[in-house]
Amino acid sequence: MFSTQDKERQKFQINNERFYKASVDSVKFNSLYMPLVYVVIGFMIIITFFLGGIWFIEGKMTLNVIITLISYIASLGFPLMMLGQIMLIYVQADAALTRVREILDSAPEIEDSSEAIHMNSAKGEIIFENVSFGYTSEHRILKDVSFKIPEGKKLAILGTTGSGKSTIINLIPRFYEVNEGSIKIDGIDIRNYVLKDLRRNIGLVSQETYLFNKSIADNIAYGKEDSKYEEIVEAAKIAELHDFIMSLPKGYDSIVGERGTRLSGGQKQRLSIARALIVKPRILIFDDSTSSVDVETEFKIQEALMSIMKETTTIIITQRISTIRNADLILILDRGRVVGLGNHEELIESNVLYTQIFETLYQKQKSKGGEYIE
Amino acid sequence: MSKKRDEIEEEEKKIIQPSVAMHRGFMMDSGKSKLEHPRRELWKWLFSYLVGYKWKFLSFLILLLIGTLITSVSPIISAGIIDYGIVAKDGFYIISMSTIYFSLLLFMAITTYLAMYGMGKISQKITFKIRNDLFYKLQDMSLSYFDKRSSGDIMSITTNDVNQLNQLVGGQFVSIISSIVGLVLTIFIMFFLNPYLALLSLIIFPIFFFFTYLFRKVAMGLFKESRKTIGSVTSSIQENIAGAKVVQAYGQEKKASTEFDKANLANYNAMLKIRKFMATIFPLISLVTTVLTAGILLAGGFAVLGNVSIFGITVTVGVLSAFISILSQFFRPFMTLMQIQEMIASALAASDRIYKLLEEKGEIPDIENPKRLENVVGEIRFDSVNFGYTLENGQKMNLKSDSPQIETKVTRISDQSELAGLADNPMMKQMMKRAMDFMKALPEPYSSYMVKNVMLMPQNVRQKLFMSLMGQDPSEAPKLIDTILAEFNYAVPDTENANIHPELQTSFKRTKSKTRKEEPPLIPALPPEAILQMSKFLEKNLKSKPTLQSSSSEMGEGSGMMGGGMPQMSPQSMLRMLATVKIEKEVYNQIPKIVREALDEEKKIIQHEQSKGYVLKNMDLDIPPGKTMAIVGETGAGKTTITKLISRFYDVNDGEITLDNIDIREISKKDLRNLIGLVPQDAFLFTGTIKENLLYAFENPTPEEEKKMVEVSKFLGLHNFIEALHKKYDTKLKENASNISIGQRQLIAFARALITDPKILILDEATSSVDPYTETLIQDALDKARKGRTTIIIAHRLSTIKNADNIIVLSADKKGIIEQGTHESLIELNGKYKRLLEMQHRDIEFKN
Repeated sequence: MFSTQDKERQKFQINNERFYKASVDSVKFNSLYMPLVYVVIGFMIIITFFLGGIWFIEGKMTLNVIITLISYIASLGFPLMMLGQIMLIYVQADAALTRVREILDSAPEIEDSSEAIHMNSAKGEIIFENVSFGYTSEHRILKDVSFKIPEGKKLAILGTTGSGKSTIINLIPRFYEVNEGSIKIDGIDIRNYVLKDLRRNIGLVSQETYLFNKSIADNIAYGKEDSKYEEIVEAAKIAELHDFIMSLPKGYDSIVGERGTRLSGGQKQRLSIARALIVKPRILIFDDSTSSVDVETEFKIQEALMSIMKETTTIIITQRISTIRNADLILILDRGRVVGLGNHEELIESNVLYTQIFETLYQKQKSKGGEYIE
Repeated sequence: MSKKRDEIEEEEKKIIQPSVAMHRGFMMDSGKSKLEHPRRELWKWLFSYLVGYKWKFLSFLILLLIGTLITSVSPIISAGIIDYGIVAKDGFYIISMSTIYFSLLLFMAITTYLAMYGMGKISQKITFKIRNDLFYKLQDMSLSYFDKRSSGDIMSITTNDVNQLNQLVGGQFVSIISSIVGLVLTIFIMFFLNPYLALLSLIIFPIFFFFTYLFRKVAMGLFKESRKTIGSVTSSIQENIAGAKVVQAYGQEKKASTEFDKANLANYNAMLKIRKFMATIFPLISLVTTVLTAGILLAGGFAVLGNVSIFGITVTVGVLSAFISILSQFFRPFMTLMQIQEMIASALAASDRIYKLLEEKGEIPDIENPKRLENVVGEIRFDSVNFGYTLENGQKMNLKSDSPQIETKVTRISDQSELAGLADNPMMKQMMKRAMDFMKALPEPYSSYMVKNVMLMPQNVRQKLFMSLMGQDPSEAPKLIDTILAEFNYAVPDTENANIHPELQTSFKRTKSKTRKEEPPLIPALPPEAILQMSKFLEKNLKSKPTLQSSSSEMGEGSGMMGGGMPQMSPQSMLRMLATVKIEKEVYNQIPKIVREALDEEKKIIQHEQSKGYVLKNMDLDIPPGKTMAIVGETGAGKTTITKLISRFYDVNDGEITLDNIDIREISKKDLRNLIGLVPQDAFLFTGTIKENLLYAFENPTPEEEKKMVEVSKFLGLHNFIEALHKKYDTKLKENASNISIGQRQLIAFARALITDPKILILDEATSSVDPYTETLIQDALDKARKGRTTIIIAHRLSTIKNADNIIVLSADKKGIIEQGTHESLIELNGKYKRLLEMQHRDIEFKN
């Protein structure tokens, strides 16, 4: 676009030259090695001739010894050269080993404790108690966050970028351990649950969807291998994806990522919603996951979801007025701290910040935009 | 950036081991795949890089040969030392010859070193150049090239394949030369020393050759397998690591492990097979060599003992000793020779890929003398534009390549051969010939008229004519022709019809553009017998195999069936043809069910292909200068396509796009793009400082340009944010600019585009949500920026849309604009636009 091809070419040339110089140096070294080996062997041979010759003449050594020696020396050539290569390979192997060990020796940070409890059917009540967390040790993203979501209720999380919304979502399935405080599901700290059970009960739809290079059906059924075809279709229908899939020549067997099956951002998101739904989790988390979906479709999805979500505890990061308003509980985050907690009516009355935010969002949606028409 | 580091490490590894090429040779990539270019061409291309270094290369080559010569000759000297020095008890001889021997050796060492170093350097230089050329070329490539290929593919060519070549020209070439020359010289020397023993030694040759052959055959297959397995292992790892979050979220760690284990085990087995093979064959070779040596010792030994002279030459101890040394080293060059074929094959394969890339058509080239632009006002217009991605630039879509479709060029066809030449399918040729004969048999003026105009006719007219005239007697035809033509308001001139009805047209207009085609022309109807015969054949074919074979080699007995010498046609193409041809109902009902189903299937596929083809069809658009146009529509409707077309990343297939009434194809791309400021959906920022990113358009930014940068930043409200950063404008951005938020990235991309003060602003709004505060910033920035510029926005935000001067609503189904107007007028229309808005309002209504 900027027609900066020439500039890029120059940059590349410089790097290329540097590489060239480095390679030439290694060529130099290598060229030296082989002749050197020959010289060494040659030297050994003439020593043999020399000393051997003298001793033979003096009668101290027999001819066969000399000849044998020479044969041996001659056959040393190959092994000697290989030795040089081995040195190089050794060095590389050593470096490689270090890297491999690094991975092998690292202990999983999060694993089941020996007394981990199974989570059979979660009810879905989530409690955050004074949770503080940071991805790095110096910087805390979440500071002393506390809230409670009763089972089957809906929580909307609001906040600016970087305020910690996605972080909260990452903590619930225990992708990371909290630094302080605790997260409890159904009254039990999540660290006491068997990890696999915990995660099986949580359906997570993240902002960026990652799909495997398998068929659509396999991708949707990823969390539940023994899913029946009807279950897959049902999930796809709720996610408003079914019609689209049927329009593809191979339908549910179309391979994601194969050329010709270009999934748009919205379709990918819907697929990941279907994927989360099929597991029928007790806890559903949406990380702003309908951003690439047009309003019409999102509406339909939400309606469909509302029927299942009756007994599901839902957490949703969103900026849509309707979602926020309908939430049972709203959590407002600012720079890692909870600055508002309650439902819409409560917050409108008591929380100035909330009123401001809501007003802004409303204005945006009404006249200045902020919502998506596509 | 760790990827780059790994790449460099990998490359270094490969460079540092040119002599290990011998071992690695076994592992080299040499599928027996066919090359796309003839070998001679590839060699020519490779040699072209050598041109500048011709003399240097030759001299190094000579040095190398000298070195090899000396190495080969040394056994003679040592034989001499033994015989004439030691045995003869000539101390002086020993010392003097040893010294000579050693000095020769030293000399050889030096020459070989120089040769290898020199040639190595040259090969590096060549690789350097090739890399440069590749990169140069890549910069020139059109977007469509990158769209079609994964970055992995391109990366592989620029790293792996270039490395392959590097190895060849560097280490491998040297070992090949020294091996061949050495071997030949050694054989001569053997004969020189003692022909009898030499002959005996040569028995080994056929055995060695046999081993070579065996090795090649077996090992290659094994290696191919191992490459496949290691590929699966790598991709299994890659996929599951990249998607680790998903794997963990769904608790599928075990599944991922199992998948990996399977792949790993398969790889292990494949590798094991290779090892087993190696473990068998090398000792075997060793055994053979040793047996041979023993044989030589036996024969030679007795000769020495008995002082027998054979062919007049006695065998001396020295000679015997020399032979033993030679033999112990004998196989090494043989091993190298064994791999020559593979080395060359893989080098050729690599060059093939590189060459292919270098040969690719670059971006749409500018025309010869592009028009210059002056005082650009910024008015853009689309005129009857057709465009589709799957089509090559400027070409029309073809159905599957073996479908008998005639490419109708709108030219006058004057004789039969031209017409027949159009069809590239032999069957079509036949039909065309028949048609031609028919037309020629018509009475005048119909005959010449038909011949002249048949290709000019609109598709439907022609089709109808053919259908009705098939099987008719040419003398009866004129009446039919008249009737049919009259239906379409045409008449043959100088006929009764034309005279009675002067309003009928007599000539067929040429259409506007050069290769204007209407729908892909259907073949003139086939006679029913042909259809039924083909159906029978297909039925047979379908019943025996679940899917049709697409290679014509499957024809087998089918070909004889087609009476009238219908030539070879694969079942697939036959199906395709039947699916495109119109079949009368009575005929259709006679087609066996299984064939009918296949036909329906095929028709669906065609439809799918066709509909996927075009993104925009017959689109007209007018954007007055300085105004803002918002584009709205669902995914895939063609919004981004429009912007790509304006910037000429793709050329339209039909119609034209004009800027200030000049067809953009007549302007140079650089001029055009200089006028356009593009802010794409996901702005790509480099790992550099913010300043570098902002000033990307300028090679060496001047202070004025830097000042402009600050101005623009302030204008957009970006400046404050940057100032708040620790290093302000010199803050370095991480890969994917992960250290700043999405909103800020957008603003930077915005600023970057605005700095060039473009007349046309194209903004592809990002769909990812940003916090309301940044959103306001972006919104305000946009409002400011679009003043005085022709702005095109692919809009997602209502505010943007409301303020646009014109809104167009695109539809993927209709492949074009379905609604157009201002916000208010569109609401009144009560169409899709209104519906979309209502969706939102439903949201808002909740408040009250």
